[in-house]
Amino acid sequence: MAKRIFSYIMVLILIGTILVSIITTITSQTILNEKYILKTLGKVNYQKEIYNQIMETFKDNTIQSGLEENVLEGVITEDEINEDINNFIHYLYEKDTTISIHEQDVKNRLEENINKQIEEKEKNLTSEEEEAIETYVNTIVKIYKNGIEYSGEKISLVKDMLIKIDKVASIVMIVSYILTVVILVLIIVINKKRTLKYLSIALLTVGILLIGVKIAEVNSVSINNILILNKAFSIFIITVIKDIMLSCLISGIVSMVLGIVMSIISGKTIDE
Amino acid sequence: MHKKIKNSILRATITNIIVAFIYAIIIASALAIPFSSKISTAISLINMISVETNKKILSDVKIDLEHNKLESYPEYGERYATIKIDALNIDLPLYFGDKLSILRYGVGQSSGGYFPGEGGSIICMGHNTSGFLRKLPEIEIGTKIEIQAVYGDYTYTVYDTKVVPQTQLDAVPVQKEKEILMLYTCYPVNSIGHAKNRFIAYASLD
Repeated sequence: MAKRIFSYIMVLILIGTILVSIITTITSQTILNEKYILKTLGKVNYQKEIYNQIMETFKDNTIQSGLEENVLEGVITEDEINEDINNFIHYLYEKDTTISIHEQDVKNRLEENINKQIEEKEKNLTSEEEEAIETYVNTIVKIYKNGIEYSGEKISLVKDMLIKIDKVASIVMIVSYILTVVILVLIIVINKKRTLKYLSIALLTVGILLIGVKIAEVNSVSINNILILNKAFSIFIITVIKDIMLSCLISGIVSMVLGIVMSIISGKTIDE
Repeated sequence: MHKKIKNSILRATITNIIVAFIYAIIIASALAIPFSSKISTAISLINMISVETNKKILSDVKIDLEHNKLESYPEYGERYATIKIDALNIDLPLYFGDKLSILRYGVGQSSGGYFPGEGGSIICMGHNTSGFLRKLPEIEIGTKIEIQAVYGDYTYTVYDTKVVPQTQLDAVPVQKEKEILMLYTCYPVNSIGHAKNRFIAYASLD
């Protein structure tokens, strides 16, 4: 009797270690994985959306600047935006990296275009107008920088947080794998005959919980309408959340199937 | 014999599934009870940033004349009125919202103020380019400004104009004692680069 109770407690702990192993594995393959992030950004055309968004914001700010809209011609390119976004993601995920984007190039090109336009108009600028143009140029450059980096000041905090979480998640993942094996060995030692039965119960429970989380998410949270910062970023976040939920669902289904198979085998073995 | 084995395997599998469900309920309850408020907060936060795309029809925007309050409001970024200054040949759409992307299409209304008919400050702004509010600095005391909203028409008479630095936010105060329309644009209108000042026309409800 004591052996059975102890075995069921071991099963409870085994459920916990299997769940933690699955969750940390999913996390390390998705939000903590630079390659996955870059792949997903490409999948949702994030770079192109950001390019369009930055250009539209440039135009909004140029409308009442007194300058023609063609002052923005060639100031930014899609390739540079692509490169800058990749650099930014790399900066977030790698220790000891610094971020460098093309903001100086943007500034230089814009100033060149403005000078050309003013020369064509044969206008002599007053000192106030020169100051006004400088403010306009700085505004455009800031729009570019924020379009890539969002809030620049808080980015180093986000980077530190990501690196810490990655470290902790890796340790937790390894510990949970080891503990799973240890618990299994303990169950074999205590009650060899019923090992498959207990393992099947653990896997079935993990499957039920993971599928239950997916069902709860569908019924209580409207992920498809999330809007954070801008449309491009929102679509990216929605895609990442959906990928994580899908991984949970697949893990749950696989767990249940394995649990049923083990249950059948254990039933057959005990009977024999 | 085979049937007996099959039955016992089926029984064992069903028993294991039932035990698994019991475990799942125990674990879910054990997590839900101490963390239920945190889970509800997380779900509310996610739902807060979920924007429903079912827009209500603009004709649903109505004013409660007894309490001087709109019964429902236009969506942010939605056109809900036309603003007209006949003396300056200005006839522009009026949108709820003051983002630059909205000002590209007409006059914007700050979400920090009130709506026409509500008895408070109505703060509107537009670009100083031709086709928008380029002529606003030519407005004179006594000029009429009309706002034709989906829920009613309102006429205001200009009583003051000012040129202020863009940082002087108290030049467009939000108050609910009197219905005042404050319409502004960047100044000077023929500037190059970023204009540091604003031209504001103040008009009271007729």
